[in-house]
Amino acid sequence: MLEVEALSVEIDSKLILDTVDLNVGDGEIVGLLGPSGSGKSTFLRAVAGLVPPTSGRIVWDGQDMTGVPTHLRRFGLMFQGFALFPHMTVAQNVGFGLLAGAGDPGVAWALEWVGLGGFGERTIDDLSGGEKQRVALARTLAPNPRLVMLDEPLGALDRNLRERLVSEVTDLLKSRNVTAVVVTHDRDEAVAMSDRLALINEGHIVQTGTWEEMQRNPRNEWAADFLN
Amino acid sequence: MVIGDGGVSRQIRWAWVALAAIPTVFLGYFFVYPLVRILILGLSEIQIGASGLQARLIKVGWFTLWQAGLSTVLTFLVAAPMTWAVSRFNFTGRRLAVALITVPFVLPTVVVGTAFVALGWRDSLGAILAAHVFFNIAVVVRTVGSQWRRIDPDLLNAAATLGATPLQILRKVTLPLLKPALAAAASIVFLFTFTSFGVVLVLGGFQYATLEVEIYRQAIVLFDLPLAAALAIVQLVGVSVALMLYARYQERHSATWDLASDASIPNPAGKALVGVYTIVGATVIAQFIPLGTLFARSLGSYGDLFAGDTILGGPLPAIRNSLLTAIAAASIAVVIGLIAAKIVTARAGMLSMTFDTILMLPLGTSAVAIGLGFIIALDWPFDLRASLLLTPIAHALVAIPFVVRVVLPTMRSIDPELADSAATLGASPWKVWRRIELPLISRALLVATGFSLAISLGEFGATSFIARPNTATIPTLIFRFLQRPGPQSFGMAMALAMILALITAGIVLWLDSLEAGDIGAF
Amino acid sequence: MGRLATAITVMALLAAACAGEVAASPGTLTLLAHDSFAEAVTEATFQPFTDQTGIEVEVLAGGDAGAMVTQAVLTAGNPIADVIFGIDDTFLSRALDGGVMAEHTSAEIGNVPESLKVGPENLVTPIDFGDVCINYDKAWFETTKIQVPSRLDDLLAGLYAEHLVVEHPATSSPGLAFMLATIAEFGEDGWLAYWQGLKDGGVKVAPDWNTAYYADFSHYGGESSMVVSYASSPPAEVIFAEEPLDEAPTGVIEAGCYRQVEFAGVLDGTEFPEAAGQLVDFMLSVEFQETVPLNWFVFPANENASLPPEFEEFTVIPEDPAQLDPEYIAENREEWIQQWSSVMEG
Repeated sequence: MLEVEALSVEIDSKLILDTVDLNVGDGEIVGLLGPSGSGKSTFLRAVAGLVPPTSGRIVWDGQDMTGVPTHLRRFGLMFQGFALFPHMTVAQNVGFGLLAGAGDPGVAWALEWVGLGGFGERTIDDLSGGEKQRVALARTLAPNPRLVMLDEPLGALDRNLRERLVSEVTDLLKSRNVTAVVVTHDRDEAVAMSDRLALINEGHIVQTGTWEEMQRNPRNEWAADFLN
Repeated sequence: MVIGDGGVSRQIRWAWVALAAIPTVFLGYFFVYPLVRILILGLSEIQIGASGLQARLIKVGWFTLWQAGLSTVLTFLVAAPMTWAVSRFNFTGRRLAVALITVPFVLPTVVVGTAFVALGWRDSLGAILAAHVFFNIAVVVRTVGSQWRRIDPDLLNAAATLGATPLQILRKVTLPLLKPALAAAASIVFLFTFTSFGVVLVLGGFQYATLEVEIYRQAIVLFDLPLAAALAIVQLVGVSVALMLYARYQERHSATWDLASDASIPNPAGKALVGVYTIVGATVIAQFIPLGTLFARSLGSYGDLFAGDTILGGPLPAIRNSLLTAIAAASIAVVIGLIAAKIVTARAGMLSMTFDTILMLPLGTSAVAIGLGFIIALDWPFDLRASLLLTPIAHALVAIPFVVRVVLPTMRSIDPELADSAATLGASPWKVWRRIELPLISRALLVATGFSLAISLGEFGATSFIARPNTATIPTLIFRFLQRPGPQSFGMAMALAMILALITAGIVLWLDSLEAGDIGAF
Repeated sequence: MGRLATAITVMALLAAACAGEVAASPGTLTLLAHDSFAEAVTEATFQPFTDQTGIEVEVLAGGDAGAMVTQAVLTAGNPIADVIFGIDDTFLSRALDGGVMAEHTSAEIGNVPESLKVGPENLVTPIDFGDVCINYDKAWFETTKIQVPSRLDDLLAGLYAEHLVVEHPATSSPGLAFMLATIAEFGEDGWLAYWQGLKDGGVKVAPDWNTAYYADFSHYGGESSMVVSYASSPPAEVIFAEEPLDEAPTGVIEAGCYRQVEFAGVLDGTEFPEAAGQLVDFMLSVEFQETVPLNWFVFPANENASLPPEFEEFTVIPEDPAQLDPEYIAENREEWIQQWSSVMEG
């Protein structure tokens, strides 16, 4: 279980996150929903250890992870632009996080699992947008991270593809009982993918709860506005 | 995995500090510290106001200044027609002509000097000026030409329809648009000729000396180290002032015009065609006269050269020294330059800023000052002045700024999310470096290695201070052959210069085949 | 990527190998000498020494005397050779101040005349001496019926200066010696005026001895009938003449000569101080000393060495050549050269 306690992040003396609290239970998918510039991506980066927090704690299963370097946290992060390694094949990308090298059965399995069996030897340049997205997902999930974070996982794709992939990705995550945070600025996407929502605006968590709870009881005017 | 209280984090921080310490200690001890010793020694001499200093300064300083000015003007005059032809017209062989014109620029200065001696132009001002023009034409053609090409002909046509004469168009449209490029080219040529060493030492006889040559004479011939140090300070101040003036000019005139990225340049026809080919042909042929003469006159001397000289022996030890030195220097320069570039690109604020500046310093410092600094300063804490690694280290100092300039842009162009995503996949900083960053900059690294090799092979300024008779490099051996009288020694100098020219050309061609972009524009 | 890493490793190993390759075998001694000495060294030169001791001698040419001493000073304590030869009295102080010499007193030092012992005997050993004198072209003076000048002062009169070529003291050892001769002759107060006079008279300045002698001297087709050279140049003309000569074609003006003494010594920091000392002793032995005149055109320092007939016949050893104290030279050399330059080039 992930517990984020009073997390604040300042970048260039500008407060990006202001005492954010958020819990994610085991096997739970939390959708972090907010307009652009609200601090969503920074939140993921701070949890991943890519941005140092100014104050607050990041705790996993009761263990303080705040000072732990990124590569030892075992928190997977799928980047908005996918960040696929251009000098490696699909298989090398997917196999990067596995302890074993290329030819690892895990790679083939992960590719099968996202529906890209046989794509292993392709170069990144040969892939379409949807294929890249799925390679990125496979790469994130392959090393079996304790926590999966997805930053606008479908953001870069066109509408048709997005609608199809929303359910596909959600099913994949659910099928592995993954603990996950999904960041998006799209309300429908957030609702479709997550068990629970967290609304974020200007560095503050405004409200957490299920879609229905929020609809019934928006915390304030902004929340009511944003949800409709 | 059980993690304590951020112990790993602290370890990583220490690793960074340790990493930063490598280039810091290297540059601190081999660059900053010798400069400080030069300052201390030279300033005491300046304070005493030694009579010799004043006399030398007036004579040598003035000569250095005006010959640099005159060389710059002459270079522009000679390069102007060629620059016009290759900028304003598209024609078959244009690229080849620009490539050929660049050849002299990549040649070691000792080779250039020897080529002009081969023409029989020794010990004269004319030889120095001609060699400076020969060496620097490429700077003007390439720097000004690339800008000139981007001026859309319709811009000039528009001016013509408004009633401007060709001269008015040149004065009111073309020149203002070329001003930044003209200023850049002029500063570079001035700087190169102001700090000219090899060419002047070889061609100047004993009556013409730039500050660099005088520093060498005072230090190595007369062994007046304080006077040499004082002159080195004057030289450093002169170069810094020139660089600062240029930087201020750039700041004030940094307006960038929206020029065509690839303007529709016409093909010449009729008279223009003849004119263009005449200009380009004449310039290229003139450029190759010294080299051709060197080649032709060297032909009879390869036998002598490899038979070995009674005093200096054969060329093989020097060739071996040069190659080993180049390899060692390139290794040092690439490793130090790479670490430094890594630190500059890391998000480390202050540290990276400081590094960025310090790294570029050797660029503005003359190689002669580096050599002088070594022999003045490196007797402490251990006497390293006889160490065999001294020459490679000096060459590495000269090459490091170039390595950084080649590697840094590529490193900066790498999406930082690639490293971030590798980290979230469990890759340690070391693994991120090995598996992601290093492969992505491998081509830039090869180019930097080639650059360093070429720089080291031709380096003469610093080497002339620190190479010993038993550790001569190709350039210092050429110079010793040149210093000795007799046609046989001179023939061997030409043959060896030809060999060095070929080795250098080979490396530059190899670099070009890597499609390293516009490496000729340094 | 593996390739680049391998390449860099190989480079580093090569460099390391290069750095580790210095250990000299005890069977060989390295002699650092100036180019003009190294030029005349042959297999036979040190053969007697090798026969006696089993040690080979390798000669390392260090440029001219000044450059060679500079190299030695810059590598003091960690020398590039075991023995140095060819330090002359004008550069002696540079070497001594630089601490390049190790202690060694030659067993043969007793056979060296006192006048040559201008340096500390326990550090440097005189090996030879030579006199820098104005040489004149006999044929030219005979054809023109002009009187050969006999004193330095004479050169200021008439057209003499116009027919004299001297070497630049900053770049030439005989040039420096002749400048010192004028300082010895006219004193610190008068010598610059003398040079001003020569300049006004049209004296020619050459960068080095080779240019002056082989390009400017009228005996070799140049325009100057007098050249600053050595007292041993006339016998050299006879020895190297293509057809045997009864008389030297050039002569020496005995006034205004400057005596240069050349020293050898053991370099401080050598691995083999004892063997190095033996080599110095060999160079002062009669056996080696008698080869000195014909190989290097200088006179042996050892009084017991006999001279070849050409040296007896065709030259003179000036009776009272100028000589200045090495300390005095060292203190003023740079300033004198600068002053000389401002008079002659200004």
